Amino acid sequence: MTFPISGARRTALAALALLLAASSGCDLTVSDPNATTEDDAFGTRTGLLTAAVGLQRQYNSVAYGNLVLTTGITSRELAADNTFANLLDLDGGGAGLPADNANVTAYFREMYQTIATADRIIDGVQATATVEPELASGLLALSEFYKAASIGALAVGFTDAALETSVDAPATYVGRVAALQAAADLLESAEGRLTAAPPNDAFTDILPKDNDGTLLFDLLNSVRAYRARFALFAGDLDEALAAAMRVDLDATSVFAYEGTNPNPLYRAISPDFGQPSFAVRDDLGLADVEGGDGRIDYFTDPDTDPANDESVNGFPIEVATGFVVGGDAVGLPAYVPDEMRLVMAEVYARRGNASEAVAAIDAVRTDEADPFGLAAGLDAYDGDTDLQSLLDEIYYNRATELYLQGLRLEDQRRLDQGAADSSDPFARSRNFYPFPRQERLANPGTTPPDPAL
Amino acid sequence: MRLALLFSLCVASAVPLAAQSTYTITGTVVEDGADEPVVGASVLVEGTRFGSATALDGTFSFTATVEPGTYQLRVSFVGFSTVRTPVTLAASGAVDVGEVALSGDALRSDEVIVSATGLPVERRQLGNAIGTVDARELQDVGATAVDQVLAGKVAGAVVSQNSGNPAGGVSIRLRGPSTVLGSADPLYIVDGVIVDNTSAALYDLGGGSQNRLVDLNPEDIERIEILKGASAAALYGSRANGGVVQITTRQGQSGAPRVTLSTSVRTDAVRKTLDVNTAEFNRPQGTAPEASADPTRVDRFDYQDDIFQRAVGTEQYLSLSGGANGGTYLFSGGHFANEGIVRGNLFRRLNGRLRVGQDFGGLLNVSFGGNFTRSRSDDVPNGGLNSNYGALTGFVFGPNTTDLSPDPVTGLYPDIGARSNPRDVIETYTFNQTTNRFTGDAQARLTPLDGLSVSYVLGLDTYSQSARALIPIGATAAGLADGFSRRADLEVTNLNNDIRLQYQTDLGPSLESTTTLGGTSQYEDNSTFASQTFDLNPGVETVGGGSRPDPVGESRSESTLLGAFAQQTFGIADQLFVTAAGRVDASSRFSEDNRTNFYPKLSASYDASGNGAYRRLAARSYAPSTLRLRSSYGESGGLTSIGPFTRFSRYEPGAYIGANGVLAPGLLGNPDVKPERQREFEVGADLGFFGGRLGIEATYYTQNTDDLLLNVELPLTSGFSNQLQNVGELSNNGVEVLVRALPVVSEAFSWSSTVTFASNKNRIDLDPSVDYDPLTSTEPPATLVLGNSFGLVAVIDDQPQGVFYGSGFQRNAAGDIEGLAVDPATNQIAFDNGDPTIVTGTLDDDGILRDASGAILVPIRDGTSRIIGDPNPDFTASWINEFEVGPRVSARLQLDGSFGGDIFNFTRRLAAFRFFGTLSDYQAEIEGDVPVGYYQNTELQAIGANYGVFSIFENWIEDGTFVKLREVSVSYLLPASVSNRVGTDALRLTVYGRNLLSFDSYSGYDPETNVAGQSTGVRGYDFVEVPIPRTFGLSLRASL
Repeated sequence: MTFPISGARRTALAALALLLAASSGCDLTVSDPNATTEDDAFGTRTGLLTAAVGLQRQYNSVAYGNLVLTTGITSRELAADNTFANLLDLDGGGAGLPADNANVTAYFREMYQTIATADRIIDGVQATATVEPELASGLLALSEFYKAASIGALAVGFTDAALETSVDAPATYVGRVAALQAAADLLESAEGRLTAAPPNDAFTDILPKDNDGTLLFDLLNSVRAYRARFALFAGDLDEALAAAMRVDLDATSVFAYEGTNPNPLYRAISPDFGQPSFAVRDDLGLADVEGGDGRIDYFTDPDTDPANDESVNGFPIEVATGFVVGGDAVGLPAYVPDEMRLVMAEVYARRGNASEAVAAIDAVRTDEADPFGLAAGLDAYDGDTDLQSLLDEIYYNRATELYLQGLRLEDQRRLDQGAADSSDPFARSRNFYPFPRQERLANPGTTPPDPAL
Repeated sequence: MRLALLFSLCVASAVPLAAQSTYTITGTVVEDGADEPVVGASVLVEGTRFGSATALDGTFSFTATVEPGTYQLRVSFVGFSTVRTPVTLAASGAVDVGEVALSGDALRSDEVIVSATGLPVERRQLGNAIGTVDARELQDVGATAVDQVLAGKVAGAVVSQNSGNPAGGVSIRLRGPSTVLGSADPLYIVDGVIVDNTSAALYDLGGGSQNRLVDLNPEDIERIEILKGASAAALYGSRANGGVVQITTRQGQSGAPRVTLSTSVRTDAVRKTLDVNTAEFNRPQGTAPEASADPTRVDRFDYQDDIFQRAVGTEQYLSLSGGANGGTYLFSGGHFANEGIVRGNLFRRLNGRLRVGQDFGGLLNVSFGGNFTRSRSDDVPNGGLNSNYGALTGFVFGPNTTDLSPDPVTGLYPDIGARSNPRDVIETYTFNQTTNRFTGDAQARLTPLDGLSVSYVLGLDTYSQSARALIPIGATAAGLADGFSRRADLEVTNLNNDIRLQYQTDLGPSLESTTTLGGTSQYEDNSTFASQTFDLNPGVETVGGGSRPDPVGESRSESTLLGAFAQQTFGIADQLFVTAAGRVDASSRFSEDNRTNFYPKLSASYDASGNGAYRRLAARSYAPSTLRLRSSYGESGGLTSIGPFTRFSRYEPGAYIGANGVLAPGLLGNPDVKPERQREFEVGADLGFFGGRLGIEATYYTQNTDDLLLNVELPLTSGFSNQLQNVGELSNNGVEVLVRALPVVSEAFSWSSTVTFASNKNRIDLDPSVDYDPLTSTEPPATLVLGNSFGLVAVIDDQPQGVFYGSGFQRNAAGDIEGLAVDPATNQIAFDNGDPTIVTGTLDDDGILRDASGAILVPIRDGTSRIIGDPNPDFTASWINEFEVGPRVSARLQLDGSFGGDIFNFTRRLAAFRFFGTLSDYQAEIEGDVPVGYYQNTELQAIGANYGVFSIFENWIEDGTFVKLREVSVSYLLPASVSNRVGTDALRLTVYGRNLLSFDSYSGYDPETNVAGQSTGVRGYDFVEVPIPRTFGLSLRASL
């Protein structure tokens, strides 16, 4: 049903349109003055530098917070303390956790958003001729670090992970052990790049620094520490031990925050912003703790009365302290040095070397001065030295030392700390999450089946 | 005011007057066909103030003092076609115009409609049902804005007032929503100028926002025409998917200067308040009151007493108009100020308008219009959608156990718990927004040859809106105790240039042709600048004085649209009218390949009553005296769902610890997006009976929007969340019926009655490649959860727009609701060996689940999201009655009804939660009238069995059916002896009321509410938005 326009009228119309176009300066090609295009972000040297800054912010301020908070509820490090249905559902856990839970979805989404940016930077650096080798090594290693961190973080909560992002084709998933191995491989590549061509100032300029200009984030040590972490999770004990040994245990590396990129745990847990969504569990959510453990006092303040000593779902909660709630600008450790000692302890224990394992454990237990002020101040270990006893002791130290680092859910499974039980306030409420409903609906072909629990 | 009057009189006396003579004009007005006299008809010499009303025998006689010449005598009466008859006044003396016949016209067939074809055409020639509203229907009805006043007046226009603030937002859906993502409100055109109707939320008021149509003074309006869909509005091209509302403002008439003055006072009050929890004690969750040795006794308060007030308002309007020597002018000024029913809320609108025109011997006509408005609202945050700091928000979150009064020593307001202290919000927070707006037009019409005209309109609408929020130090707002200040400015400019060439000719004795060519260029520029800070020092109000500023937000956008159209109309034998038209548009919002779009239109109207043979047949039989069939097809476009730059992947700034950065967006760009395209077909009939005293207008329409733009969910493993794609389809099908009757027409009493009925079925197809059947399909349907709804409103495949989507009651295979049996001894869930007993039950009138014996059961949650309600009404209907009692008294009564839509009572849900517990539901739990944990059960939640109805969203869906007494007014024309004594020609006193009564079964404030404001998808969402008040007013109108 169209109306025929004769040639003469067409000419008249065109003339009219032209007249009007001339009268008000109408340009039909309008560029966006508010945002950067994809070509500018990943196709130029300046663009790649800004993209690499955005990558750090994306992971540190958003994705990492989602990992810690979401898995922290499931591992019982935290309790939901607000009435939003997504929080109550997550807190309830079990088989009833809906696949469209907003927290689980956000955790999954933000990790892949990080990976997508890292993938684009890796491709862009290799395709952009104006990036010098000393900058390229830094940009590539940084991207590989964050990509590996994201894949490893996904392996904490999900049975499978996709290693590459694509807007054109469905993702290919691999099992979580293969994903952790791939993450360790990315970190191996990053370590090689950093040692072969140490990055120049153009690169270190985009890393967070304190007011004195000291780097807050130590990329090389973080790469080694995460390599040790993920190799351990993947069961590659040799690589885990070797990488852990190369980490400088006096160095610190933090995810830095500021007023405009606030510490995500502080914002979620502190009561400074109204009813918080999350609360720290009394005794860090552990059924049994050792008296006088400085780490529990580091994270919780038993001397201050909480407004409620029960969460909305009736879990015992406590007032939070420490770097978790230090303020908007207080950084969170990318890893703590004692994690490396506990990696070594676990490798030794699993290899049957109990004395080395106990020595490494004791270095953590008797620690009086940790770079982060996180010191147990306990006596040396005097318990049994069979494998499970050692693993239990390693779990206890990891649970307290590595509190709120998004690791406990993995530790509970790997170190055989009982089965998932949503009715036990001290057992994890699930083993793995269902894949987000959005992923399953939009990618029905390759999304793996959901775990029962 | 007196000064203004004096001033206007001075202007009036400055108009030169020629030599005048006095005439006595007489005649008789009769009803056509019946030869009955028409009593009370108005007779006026057009362009003058001389006229009269007909007497009991239909005769009239009056004197006029005018210059000699030929005048039009206008004879009109409600429900009859207006007749103009020429009268030549030569030498002074008596002039008899003889008999003037009026025919009844409930269908308003002769009404001239401009907007559908761009030229004045009688309604009977159009293929569409066009809604029209006259100034008379806008006055003295207690409405504050033009869109609000349209409620119930046009079949097929669903007008919803989202908030009860005096400047509260209003949404209009013409034949249902036409898009999902963007605004589904119509395009507004005032005197040829495209005017902006943005609902900018420059600061967070907890939900709703104003829409900028509030800047238009309803008093300035002469007439409104409403094109409801593509088949009528195709000429408006890619902006017409929501329909078009064309507004004509008042203009001067040739003749002596006329002054009109109106003044009114009004008062508003909350119509209904909620029942608060008055339990005298608190108890810890999970323990029965008597189990606690010393139940905590508490005082409870009704915070609503501290929030609501009786509001007063006042309105003044003054205009001066007239014309001579081919020139016309109108100046007007208005002032409107009205408090809100929430203390501290005030809206004030000042405007001045002028319209001048000059005709140069019929060859050229030039006119200019300009309006300046300054609107200012002192706002009080309310609504629970976003902000933590609203007044009603504080009330519903409670708990209501704290005296809200400030501490007598420190002056600080006590912290009441979860949210702000309502008195603190009202008495110490400062939120205000000011808009300065100019809308103007310049128009020229050249008529070089008989039948040929060229017209040009230049329209400009520009405004700046500035919003400022201040929460002082010591506030009870969570997280803002150290103060908060925000300023946000919005600047909007709309510019349109329209040129139109028209040629009208007779191609034969009974074939009339009109050809129109036109072109338009439209430019929009929009920029915002916003800044805010936390941590203020004493006395500091500005953002610059704060200690912890957020990054400044700025955005700019512009977009351009070029269009051209051609239209051909044929009128055959004054019976068949056919129009064909096409429009081509190009918009900068799309990439070059998708930029240009063509929208055709074809419409026809057949007026059998234009045929002499039919008229004779109708006169002899029961066939309708008027019979008209019409049909129309048209296409139009929609741009509101795509922003100027959404086709790009936009990497927004993301600085991190001193370094510049860009952040990857969640929305993947899509260069292939194109406009949404609506195809609408309508067919209808207009029937007139009893000599036009009964008219029925019925229309069926089917409207399909293809290429619906949706934020399609991508696999998250793509690294993006969504992409805007033209994937869906949306349809609106419905019926509109308008019945207008003049049951009684006499001198002593006249009654006209209008009933409108509209039913619309809306359906969205997210994925046309899959036919999802909710009954048989095992796969979940494609779903888009909408923002601003706590994830509880979704667009779901094959469902209507905006259904409520969330957890429901657990049901057995037969569909019966299941609950847990209660142990009467403890009033808690009964456990048998650690297991609860599941029993089926039904919900009673109060929504409490009971088994067959009447014992209360604790419902069980089924956590899988499903459709739990539909806010779209099945149908809407209105009944408007107008009465004339004698020559002086008239009355009006309007009932509006909406039937079958659901409301999500989130307000009540929240207040039932044990930590808040502000309404009577929780009182029932405390006092043992419902089992412990009925609303939220933590014990059972830990074992994963139950969450209480707090987490069963289905429990909070209620029927939103209502019938409202929307408008009532009684008006009295004072005797001439009185009006003349105070120097006026006419003086009319009106008492009116608005929203006086609501007949509904809704437990909240009002089923007509929406905390998400003018959101297209989220409707009927009740979360402590300010309820619509009951209004009474008194107005006085004077003219001379």
